[in-house]
Amino acid sequence: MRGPITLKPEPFIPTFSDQELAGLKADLAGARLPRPTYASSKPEYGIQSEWMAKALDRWKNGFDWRSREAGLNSVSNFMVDVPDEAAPSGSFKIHFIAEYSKDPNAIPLLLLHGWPGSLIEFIETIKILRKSTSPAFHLICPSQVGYGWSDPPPLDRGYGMYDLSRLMNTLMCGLGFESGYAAQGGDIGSVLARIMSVKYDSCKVININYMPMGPVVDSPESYAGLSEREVTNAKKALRFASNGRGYGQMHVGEKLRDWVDDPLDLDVVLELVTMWWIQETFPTSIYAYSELVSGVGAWNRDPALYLTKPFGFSSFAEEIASAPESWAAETGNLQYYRYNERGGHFAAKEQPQVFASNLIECFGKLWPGTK
Amino acid sequence: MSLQSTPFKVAIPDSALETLKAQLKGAHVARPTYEASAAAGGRFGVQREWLLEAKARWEDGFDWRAQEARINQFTQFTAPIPRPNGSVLKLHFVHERATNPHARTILLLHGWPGSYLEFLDVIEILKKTGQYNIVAPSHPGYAFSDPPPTGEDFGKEDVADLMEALMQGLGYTSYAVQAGDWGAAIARMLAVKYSSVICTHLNFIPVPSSPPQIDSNAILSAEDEAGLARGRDFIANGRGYSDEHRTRPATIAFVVSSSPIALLSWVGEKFLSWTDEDPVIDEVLTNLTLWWLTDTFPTSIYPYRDPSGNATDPKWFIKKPTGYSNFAKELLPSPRSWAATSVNLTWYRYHPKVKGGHFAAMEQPKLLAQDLCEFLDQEWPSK
Repeated sequence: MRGPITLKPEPFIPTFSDQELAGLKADLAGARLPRPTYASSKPEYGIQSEWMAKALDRWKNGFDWRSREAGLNSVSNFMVDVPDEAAPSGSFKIHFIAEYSKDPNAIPLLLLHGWPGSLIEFIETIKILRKSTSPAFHLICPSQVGYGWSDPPPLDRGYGMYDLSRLMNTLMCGLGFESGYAAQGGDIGSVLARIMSVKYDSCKVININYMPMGPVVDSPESYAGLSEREVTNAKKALRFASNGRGYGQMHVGEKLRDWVDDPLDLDVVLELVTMWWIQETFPTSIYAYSELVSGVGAWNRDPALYLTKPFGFSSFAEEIASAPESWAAETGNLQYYRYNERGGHFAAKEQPQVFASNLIECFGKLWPGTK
Repeated sequence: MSLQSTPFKVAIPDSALETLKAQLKGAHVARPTYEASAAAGGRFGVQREWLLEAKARWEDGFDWRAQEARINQFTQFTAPIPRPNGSVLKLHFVHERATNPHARTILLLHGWPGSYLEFLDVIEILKKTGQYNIVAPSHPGYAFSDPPPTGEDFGKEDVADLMEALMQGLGYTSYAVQAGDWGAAIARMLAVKYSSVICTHLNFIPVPSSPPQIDSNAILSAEDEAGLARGRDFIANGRGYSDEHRTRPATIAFVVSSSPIALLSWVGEKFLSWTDEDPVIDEVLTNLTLWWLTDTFPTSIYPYRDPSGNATDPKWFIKKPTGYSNFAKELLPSPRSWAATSVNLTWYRYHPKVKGGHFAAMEQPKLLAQDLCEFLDQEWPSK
């Protein structure tokens, strides 16, 4: 049941002015590309010269921000001040999508994006879940501090995962869900969901779609009893740790290319980078990484973040790395596991139907209220 | 002498300097964050305040022509160097040949994010003695040398082979090598592969963990421990940039080349964090202007994905006499006994209090030149 609402969300229309779009166009006109190298012809070394030239051309000529904006406005957007001890003014302005169900027993579900993400990733999933009746959902999908139209982190102090989690809990309780809510997250969103499950009574159950853990000990014994597929997916974690994490101690376009199953439409990539450029959110989004030096995998294995409450793990085949069910179960009370053959790191965006069905199943089974 | 050397002078056209100015004026500087603020104390990289100051100076006040005039006081050439596969790669280099027929020859090899400019003060000092022939090249991909061929996964050994061919082509059948940073890996390869190398002098021998030959119970001096602690901190907190260079050189090239401010941040940061005292901004800007105008960055980072020439690899142990100038504020100073497991260490000097770090030639030219001369007098005495 939805309890008293103590925050004051206002309807919000996410948009960029003509002036802002003209500024971007001017910046693009002045853009120069460096000379090609051996590395820039090899996809394993990052963005290729050919792709870059094509993307730049599309971004300058043909990409239509206004039509993307219409997509963002096809769900209900709000802006709200959320009080927090870390906020210089006493509260952070948070932009969020909210779709409330008429069903009084609907599950309040908090959807947590990661890096380099945005709440846009969840829009298709939200449109599917808002039609679900068993269970029904109240869907809350914020833009994290430092991203999109939400406030940036404070200038005078560090800000990290625990701070964000606290803020997210305040948001959910302030929207009337203190008696209980569920949370879902991938990428650093999965770290937030884990912290919330451990720290906040109101967070009853979580689903995460990113568990790139290595084994406790990297020896052949650790892989005993696992299927071939499980071993392959788990070993990607070690490769990622040695090879794919340079960005973390950095490049949005490259990650959207590398971390997906089927390539995302170029306009989807350009939509994200347009927002990031106009809103200057790159600098304000990477604060999380100073804490994540050890990698998300290590956070999953942190004993302080052992999940005693039920959790679900939706594993996607083309994720950066994905732990076997047995290892995931070592990190907490694993009550739902599903392996999905399609979809990668941006699962909600890449496979909204499959993603939504995972959440319907997971929360249908684990949510304490729907028995 | 078989090389066709062409005399070279740095002559950047006015139009290029004007374009740079316009690019600086139009460049976007990231909005303030905690990480870039004074409150964070430089722990997270370049501070916004320094960046804005450097940008303003670069736009207005920094005088490239004055620097260019100074650079051109040194005798420079370019020459096509033949390669084993039959192709040719043009190298740019400073070449100061002494009139003394018994002069000893020194090859000076810079690293990343360096250039031959780092050595100019040292070259001036050595030149005055009249006792040395001096060769200071730009590595392939840097400054006025050709970049590595785009169709080839060009690596450090290719660089070493080019340097030997350069020296042979200049008529030097015997020479000594001085180097730091990844130049030290090239020096190592030259010393191991070519009989022409008499001895090597290095200011960078990174042996970060106790080698098998060393008794792990041996007590290290306080200085050695301090140096190792510096190295551990660098390995834990300072190597993000090298992971990116190693794994995603294509992507980072697009990022850093996108604006002079990108270059100022990504590369400029190293001039601050790797030196003992902060260099004067104009010194940083001279190097960065050279890099920007020659589009050096994209073609400077190929060494990072090539693990060969490592100081701890027995294959590359230097048997020839080697001197080590160990500056306390280097990134990875090694204990003398550990360095001696990587090279035939016949000369060693530790510089505890002196203001020198990773860019020793730039920060302490007199000291480095002095060390080098002493070492050479010991291992390759003049006739």
